[in-house]
Amino acid sequence: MELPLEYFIKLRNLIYERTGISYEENKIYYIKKRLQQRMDAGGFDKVEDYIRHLKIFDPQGREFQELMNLLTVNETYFFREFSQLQVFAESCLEEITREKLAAGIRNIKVFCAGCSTGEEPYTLGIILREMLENFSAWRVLIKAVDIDENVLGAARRGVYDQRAIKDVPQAYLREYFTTPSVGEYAINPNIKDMVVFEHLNLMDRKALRYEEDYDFVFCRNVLIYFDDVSRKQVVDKFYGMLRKGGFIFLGHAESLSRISTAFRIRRLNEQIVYQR
Amino acid sequence: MGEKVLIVDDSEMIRNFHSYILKSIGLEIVTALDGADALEKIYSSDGNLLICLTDINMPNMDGYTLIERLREDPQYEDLPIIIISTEDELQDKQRGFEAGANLYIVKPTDPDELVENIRMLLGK
Amino acid sequence: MINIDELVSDLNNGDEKTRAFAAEDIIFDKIPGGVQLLIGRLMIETSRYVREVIVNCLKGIKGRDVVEKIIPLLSSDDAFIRNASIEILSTQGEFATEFMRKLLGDPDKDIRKFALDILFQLKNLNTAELIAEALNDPDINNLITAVEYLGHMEDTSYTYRINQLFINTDNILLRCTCLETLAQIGDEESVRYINKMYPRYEETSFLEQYSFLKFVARKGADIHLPLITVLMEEKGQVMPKEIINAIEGILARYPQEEVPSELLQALDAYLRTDIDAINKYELLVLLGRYRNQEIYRLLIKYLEPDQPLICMGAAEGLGLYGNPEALPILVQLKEKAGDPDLAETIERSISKLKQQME
Repeated sequence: MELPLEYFIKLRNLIYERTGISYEENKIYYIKKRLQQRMDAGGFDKVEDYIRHLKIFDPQGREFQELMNLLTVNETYFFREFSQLQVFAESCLEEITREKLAAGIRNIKVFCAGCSTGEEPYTLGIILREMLENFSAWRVLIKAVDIDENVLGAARRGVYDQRAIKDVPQAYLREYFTTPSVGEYAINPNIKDMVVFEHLNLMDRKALRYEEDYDFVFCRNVLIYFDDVSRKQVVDKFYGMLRKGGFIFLGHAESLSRISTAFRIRRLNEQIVYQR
Repeated sequence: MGEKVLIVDDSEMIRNFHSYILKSIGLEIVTALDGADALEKIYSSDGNLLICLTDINMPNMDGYTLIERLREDPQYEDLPIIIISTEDELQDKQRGFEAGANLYIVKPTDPDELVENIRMLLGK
Repeated sequence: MINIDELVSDLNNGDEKTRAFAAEDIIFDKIPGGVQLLIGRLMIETSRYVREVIVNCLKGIKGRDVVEKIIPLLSSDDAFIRNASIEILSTQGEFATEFMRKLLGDPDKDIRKFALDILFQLKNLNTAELIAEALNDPDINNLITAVEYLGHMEDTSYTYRINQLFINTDNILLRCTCLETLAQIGDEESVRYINKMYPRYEETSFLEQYSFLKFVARKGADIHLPLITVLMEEKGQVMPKEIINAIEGILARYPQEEVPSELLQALDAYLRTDIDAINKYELLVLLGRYRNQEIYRLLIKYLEPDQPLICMGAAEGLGLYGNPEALPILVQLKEKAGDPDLAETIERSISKLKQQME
């Protein structure tokens, strides 16, 4: 299939405008493959026609959502999107702890939305344990939620395979995991105990109303599955849940600005971060 | 990373047209769809912005708010900002200058006038 | 039991979260007069967070009541409220079109512009007709907007009008907008007018050359190729996208086995300049479709794995070109390819070439 640059750019702009997700130019092949799948499914010969279909003949956005489902990779593993975790660990956490110490408060609250099988909240637990000075003097809560009870069950068990731990730095692997059997990695109780898992539907209007005073909200690569209005609703809830100065993290290719402009946008460590 | 001009407008044609004008005097361009997108682009880059051209009426975030937010950041306190808008009443212009714009141009843009204004703002 | 008084009081509470929740509840619980309550709060609300929640709530309600109450807000002094109103009205649905028709006759040019914006977002069967009414708008900005939108909507009913506008205006922005719109909806008359306006490229102002190239990409013919070749040499660094699209467009409409040799020479030189990798990728894939002998050598030359995107273009091009001599070279290259997408592309070309040999 021919994908002239002009149409690649048109498609890319359309995706960005509607979802805030951006694809760099070197992703042309990645997009081409998946685009071909959708075009085959819909009987489209020319990219031009498919794009026109998305713009004019897909009012409910169903085809668009099918395309997005293909484009967005939904794999979860420890220390995913490392550079973002780095700015969290090195800059944002430092700012929050400094403020708290100055105010004489020693708690940290983290919310992890769409936690799936637990890799993300446990990753955050490891980071907090590593980065907080005098860890035992802090009260740390990581609340991790998901709509799927099955994945929550797996998350509570906390046992993982090779694929999930592939990016865990060796030192952390030794320190925070045991190997009950070959190819199995179990997260240690001292990290497990930092996380509370809960069943929750983000779309439920009142679901997050009683959550407040969080320092960090992580919602990475979750909102891509929501429609425009729902996405905004959820992000507005997150705003209400954060303390003033608290940070929110979406996936690195997701742009919060297309969803809400209530947050303050900053550049830290060569990354964009968003704060209440 | 070269120094760039940021063009902010919800009309694709206007973004294109202003890009053409500025490319013709050798400037590099970054475009944004609206104020929110502009902030995203600004904070994604390493701050090598020469000048910002912005419309007022745009979805998500209007031009006045964009300018006010930029002026709150010490890094962009002195960034030359030109408003290019269809709004032509005195109160719109006053609002623009209060927000922190350096210049206010009413659409449709005269290419030569725009080039001259940019040269003047950049001191060349 | 929903306490309406409490909700109204919460809507004006000192805490922003309380106000935001109250706004949601008022709409969700269908409190009578809810829309007016929210609009009233929106006008005095200072928190951007709460403003956005209110607007998001209003976006969820469809109906004449909302439309009638929001339309006056288009005249607000507050840019946020004006733009929020446009967003809310844009999600309303077909029945809102009638209201916009009325607004198109408003004495205030800004209101007429907002009506155009909303109509463009509403996008149903009759909106093109209404947008086209603005081709008579006394304000040139609205005229330009109407031309732009009709291009995006690809409605060919107004080509004649836009051809006329193009040939008669002395406003360069309008001319460029017409050109770019005619690229979508132009006809033979458009081509005639445009060739008449720009008989030689030197007479096209630099600004218009971009829009002209866009027109040529969609509607141009091989007579435009020499002109594009000159532009490639002189301005190729500043307008690569437009030039490549123009070449692709013309070649696609005039299928030949070979690329004209002057063009091929120019492309060879162009590939050696500093244009972006993505542009080189595109050119290499394009060249793979043609049979000139020199193209084979060119494609092989760009098989450098340390420039993955360009290498991908060359590999893909070789698959299309179909010379089996490339097979052993590609097989060897695949070993060295670190990038998984590159490896996959090479593999596909290898399969293609093998298939051909059977």
